[in-house]
Amino acid sequence: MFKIEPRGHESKVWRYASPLLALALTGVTAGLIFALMGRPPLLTVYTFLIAPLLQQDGFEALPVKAVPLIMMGTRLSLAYRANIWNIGADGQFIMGAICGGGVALAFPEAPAWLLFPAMAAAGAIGGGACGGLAAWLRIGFNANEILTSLMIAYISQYLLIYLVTGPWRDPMGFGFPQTALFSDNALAPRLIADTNVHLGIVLAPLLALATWFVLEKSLLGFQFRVLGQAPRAARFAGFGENRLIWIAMLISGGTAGLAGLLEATGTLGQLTTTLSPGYGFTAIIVAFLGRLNPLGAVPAGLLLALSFLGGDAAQINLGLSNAITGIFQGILLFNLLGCDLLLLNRIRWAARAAS
Amino acid sequence: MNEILVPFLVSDAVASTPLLLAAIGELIVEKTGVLNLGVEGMMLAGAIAAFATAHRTGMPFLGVAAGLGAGVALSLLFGVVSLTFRANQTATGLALTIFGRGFSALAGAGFVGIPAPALPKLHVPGLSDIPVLGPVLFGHDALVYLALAMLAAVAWAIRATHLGLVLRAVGDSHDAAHALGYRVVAIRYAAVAFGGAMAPWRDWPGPICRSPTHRSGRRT
Repeated sequence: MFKIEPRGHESKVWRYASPLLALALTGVTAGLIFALMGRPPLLTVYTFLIAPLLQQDGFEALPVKAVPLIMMGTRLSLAYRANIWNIGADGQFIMGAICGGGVALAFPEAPAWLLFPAMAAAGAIGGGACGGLAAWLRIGFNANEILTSLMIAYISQYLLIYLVTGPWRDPMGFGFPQTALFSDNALAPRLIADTNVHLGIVLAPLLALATWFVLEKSLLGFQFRVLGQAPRAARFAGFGENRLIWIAMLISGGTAGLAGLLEATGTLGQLTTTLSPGYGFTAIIVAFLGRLNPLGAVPAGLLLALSFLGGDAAQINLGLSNAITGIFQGILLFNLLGCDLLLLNRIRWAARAAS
Repeated sequence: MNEILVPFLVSDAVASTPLLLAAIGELIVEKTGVLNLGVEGMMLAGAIAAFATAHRTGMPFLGVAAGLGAGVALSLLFGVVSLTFRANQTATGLALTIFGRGFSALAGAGFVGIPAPALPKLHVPGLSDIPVLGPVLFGHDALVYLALAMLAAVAWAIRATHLGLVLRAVGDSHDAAHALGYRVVAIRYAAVAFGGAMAPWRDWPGPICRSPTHRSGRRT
């Protein structure tokens, strides 16, 4: 039998080795599942994880896909380090796209220098309001923010479906559930003409860097970390818990809203019911895979963006449902959380008789 | 009036049953101080397992067993990661939900639009024929009544039995329960497995994969 034994300290090696082990285990598990489905495991894993990179536009598509994941993942890391569990990033993402997209649809003729910043502000406010609502419910009514933020995510999703299939549906769209295309003035500024490489590609890493700086080097970040690791100490030190909850929910929500707006204006150019294939939930995996370090969200976001591209590739090339993206992500998070046992514990093989 | 109200009440009783069952299961889980956000994953994966088995074998009750098995297996996976490995419960539950959604969409791709073999309906002669009340209160399939009976039984068990007291003790103060000699982790495992068994009744019986609408049965 094996025995789980506390190390007494956090292992530096396993801090970085555990995500790699989890990734390896995920590859093995995914291969097994493919084999059970009667698919050649190696070829499927190759198509899923490597082939998308070798495609002509792979190196362009991957970072664009990763932008919303990195933006949300990095801010969620901040909130989670303070033990503030914003699970509703997906709804905040959608609400940001709704608010910003609403501005774009209302004023299509406004000049670009005015329109896009106004949309960005509306998106951030929309997402922030969703986060703020959960903060208010937690502080004012002592309601668990895990559940409220999740429920608000469902509300946003259905509001989007209502708007896109109802009042905002494109009259020229042959009845498809989508809004009219945004005007050119409303699109996210492109860094390279005629591609989807938009502003977010620069914004996301900068945001990760800024969030890391705040969390690790500022007084505010110190307060977040103390609140997460020792809430009683934070109370004795007079760090206002409510204030920190407000800040964490507002900035993680606002960033998610901005990410949603960038997705709508950067890659889609309109609002559709399938705006978010669960980006907000994937961002939670990004945060954990990045070790709840704001900078770690960058490589983690790129990896999970690859799982979305891989799902599409598997659908096109192998005729598999792109639902394997979800399976991959679920298994990865399971393995990651399981492997993190090794951070604080070690496993010893012990003879049965000895115990 | 009755033409609208009666079908509404009938379909409401049917539609709420899976949510009610899953919520009862999750209620027990949360009474022991565990939050399993993977209810949705267990619902979906269990439902597709039940559906596929029933469709392949043509035996609805075998499907029920498969659904139960899938729900319990996934809940135990949650238990191993969050209770034995002591990982973050919120994230573990979420992993379960993401996995279950992907799994049901993948496994269910071949079954879209096929109606499920139905469980037998309970037809009480006389009672079912009463206008308004008849179709609303009687004539559903057995699961509807089972859910209501479960609700009453669980409510009573939590309030009035020794088992209920132990469950609440584990949730309210696990240190005290441990000091009294109760095996906290084992009790939580049992509760999580119960939650898993109660989850997979979503859309069952009924056509599965109608649309990717997600409803959740989470209640505190």
